Amino acid sequence: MKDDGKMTDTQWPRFMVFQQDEAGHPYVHNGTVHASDPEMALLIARDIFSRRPRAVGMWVVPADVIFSKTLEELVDPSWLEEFPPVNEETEKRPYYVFGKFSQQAHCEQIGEIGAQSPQAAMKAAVQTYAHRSPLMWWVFPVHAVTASTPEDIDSMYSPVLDKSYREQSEYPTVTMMRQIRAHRKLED
Amino acid sequence: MDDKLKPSLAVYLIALADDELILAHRHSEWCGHAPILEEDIAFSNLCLDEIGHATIWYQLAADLLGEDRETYPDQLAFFRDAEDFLNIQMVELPIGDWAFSMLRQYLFDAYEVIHLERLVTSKHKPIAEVATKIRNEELYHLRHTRAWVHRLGLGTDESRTRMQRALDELWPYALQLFASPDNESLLVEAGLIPASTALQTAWITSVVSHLEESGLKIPPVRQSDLTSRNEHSEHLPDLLAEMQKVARLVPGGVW
Repeated sequence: MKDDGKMTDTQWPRFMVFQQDEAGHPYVHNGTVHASDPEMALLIARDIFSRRPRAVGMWVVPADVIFSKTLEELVDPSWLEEFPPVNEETEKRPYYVFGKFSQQAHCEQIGEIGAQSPQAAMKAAVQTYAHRSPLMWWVFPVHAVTASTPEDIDSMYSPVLDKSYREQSEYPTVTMMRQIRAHRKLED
Repeated sequence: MDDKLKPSLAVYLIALADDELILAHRHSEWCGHAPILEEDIAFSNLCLDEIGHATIWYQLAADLLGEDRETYPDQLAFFRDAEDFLNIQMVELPIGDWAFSMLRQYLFDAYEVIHLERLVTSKHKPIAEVATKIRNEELYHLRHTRAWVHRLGLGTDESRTRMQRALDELWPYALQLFASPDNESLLVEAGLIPASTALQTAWITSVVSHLEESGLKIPPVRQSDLTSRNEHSEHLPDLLAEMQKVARLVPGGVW
């Protein structure tokens, strides 16, 4: 955290966490973590988000680099004018494009696009992937992603698959409580 | 394996499991109290992993002793008194501050990875198989605690001071990990376990470089005064009183 003499927030920066459940599947947003830096965010995300759901890969991205627009926000084209125009000579950078397809769903990976700014990336994404018609769009620079590697799978994501706490049968109290409640109902 | 070696090997495994269980139970005290919510969850998760590892080692000991592998882990964990536990004293010390707990977990994780790398070639096949499996997860634990040690060591003056204080206090205790177990030479000769001296050399090499890169000074102590795993501090009975309370209230209870 920068010490500019007027520290108002003592929280660590926020990172968005994305998870891939099978090789080849899209990455899906599953939550956020506060962490001192991207490496710590990736480590903490392993414990918070992959205890039960299966993961083969994770990304963490600083939350403040994610440029987001809902369908409603896109209707009014003035958002494009809110930002300074980019120089034609500015080099294009790759951006990931994510979309949310229902109110309950999480943002998931749609594709990748080259652009000179987040706004340009959003504009290009909306045109290129119009047929996917998500309710909300996210774009962020590919270079902002800190990703696990395939070598991390064995130590970070596979051991959990053998854990007994994932098995419903390991929680006899749950079954016992259900039986007690059922028994009470009968008595009533 | 020579049947005569089985009891000694079982004791070796129980000692290893006791280290994991007591450390994990001690560090589970951070649950709900860690400096940030995310690490609270992560550190508790890591403790659960260690308790799982302890259970597996107790089961292997049960197999060697002809005990029931389903009930033996609980019997050892909940129905032994302090003088029968074989953990080193480092793991029973109170949690201290965050620097103390994190550094202790790091020193132990570094030991575990080095130990497991050698148990992978144990001539007792079940040990080799379990070590292969657990080692993967321990590599993650070590990465996690290494990262914390690095950040706290190179963080602020306060975090570095606290880390150095923790290191000065923990170092002699950590060296107890390398006290010779009973019948060590026989077990080593049979290819069942690694020699404690080899473990110590590898551990020193591993942790010294990381601690120094993290801005910490290594204490001059070369050997622990603590040799017997049967001797404990006054902190172990207190820990056990809490850990064993429910199990002893309702022996054989299921929940």
